[in-house]
Amino acid sequence: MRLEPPCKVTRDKLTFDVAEIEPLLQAFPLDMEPWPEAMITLKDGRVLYIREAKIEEAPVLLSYVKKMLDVDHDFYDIVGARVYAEILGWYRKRLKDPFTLIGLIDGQLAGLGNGRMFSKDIAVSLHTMTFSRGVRMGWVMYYAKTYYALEILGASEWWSTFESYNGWRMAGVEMAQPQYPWPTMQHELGGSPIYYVSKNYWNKVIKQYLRTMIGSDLIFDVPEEVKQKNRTLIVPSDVTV
Amino acid sequence: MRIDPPCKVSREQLTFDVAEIEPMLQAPPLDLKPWPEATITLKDGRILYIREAKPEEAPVMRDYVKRIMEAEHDFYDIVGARVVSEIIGWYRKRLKDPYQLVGLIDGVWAGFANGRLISQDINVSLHTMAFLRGGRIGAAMYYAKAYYGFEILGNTEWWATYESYNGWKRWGLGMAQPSYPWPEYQHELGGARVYYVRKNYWDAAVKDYVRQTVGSDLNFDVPDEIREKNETLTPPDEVLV
Repeated sequence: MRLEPPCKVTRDKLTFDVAEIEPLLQAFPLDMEPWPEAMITLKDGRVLYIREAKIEEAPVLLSYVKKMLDVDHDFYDIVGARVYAEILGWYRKRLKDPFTLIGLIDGQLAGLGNGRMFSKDIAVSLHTMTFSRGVRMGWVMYYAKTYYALEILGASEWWSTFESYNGWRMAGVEMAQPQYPWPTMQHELGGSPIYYVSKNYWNKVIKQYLRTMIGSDLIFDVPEEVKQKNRTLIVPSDVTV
Repeated sequence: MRIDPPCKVSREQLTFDVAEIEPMLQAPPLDLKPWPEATITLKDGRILYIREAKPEEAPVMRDYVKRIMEAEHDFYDIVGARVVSEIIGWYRKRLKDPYQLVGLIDGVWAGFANGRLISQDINVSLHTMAFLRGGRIGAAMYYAKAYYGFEILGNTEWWATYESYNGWKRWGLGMAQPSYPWPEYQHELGGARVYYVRKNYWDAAVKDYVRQTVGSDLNFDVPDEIREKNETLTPPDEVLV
């Protein structure tokens, strides 16, 4: 679109470096406290180490999650596609205030839980994925990321939604999460209903419920040995879903 | 979570078919008027036929766009990843009121434009892609989807955002789109700024600007010959980005 300048100008063109345009497209970050590394003992006795994913680990995470796009049951394809786009959105700085927690057992990727801060008050839950069966890994990663948002970042609300029946059952029904009016309010994952946990509900009910379901709690004093075992991320060789 | 029933019950368990749960996760659709097929003559004289994508075409579309996820320049990877998740979200019914227009030249998939309706008033622009070079195919696809929103669906606002500098230059700056206050308003594509076009701005300036950029107008009287040539969508052999 063009309009004639209503004034004489000394230059007919202005040239911008793309680095000058980038601040228009990349959200400036909230000052988020980092997730302190933690560990938790799983039902089968193994120790899950939970830390933030490192930006340089994004390509290996992408290469693994990409395999989920080809799984055509139980909504793994749509979840995999969205998680792939979220990891890449984090990597390419096209996701506002994201957090990506990974759960590792002896370095092997066992779970992922991510989300982003809409504001200091509202945390948007994106996805939880488990790559290890039978130990309530989904519950653990969901607990860790909700704990991060509500206890460490100080958010007052947690907004979830669910693509799959299993996800809806685990977090929507079993945590008895209320919903905001729909379609007045829509989750950014496809415009679906927003299920929410307020800080008050978390304190009174959900936190303890999750601890009970998991059978243990987060330990933030992580021994050096556990850290070292999990320094390098290894992705599973197969997709077992 | 469990609480003892405060009343005698005749059944201790209720079992649901997943088909009974599906309405909790799948948004009931708005009554969207379909896009009427159209042609537009490109700058280079070729005829672009624009129609809605068919659900059975989703897998072939997904597989082609997956190849664009590998392009590590100019934000094609994040755009490709998000478009893949939108295509899967459409066919897995995890996107509220989506539409996806495909532009074809003699059956070859030349352009793509999609979005979804937040409400009868607000149309969320998701992505626009050109797969063949020349002819301003991207502009033609953007024009078609904005025309669909404002002229056919009766939307009053169009919400866009941009991952790439080129997209921002072409549409954000090119249409002199205003943006809503950020971070109070966030686009569902990663929480970025919402750039918007209102119906009165569309009527007064944008419609004519985009039409001039394309160089011709939509023709809704499509000859059988064109329709038949474009019955089957075939992706290009190469990824030209």
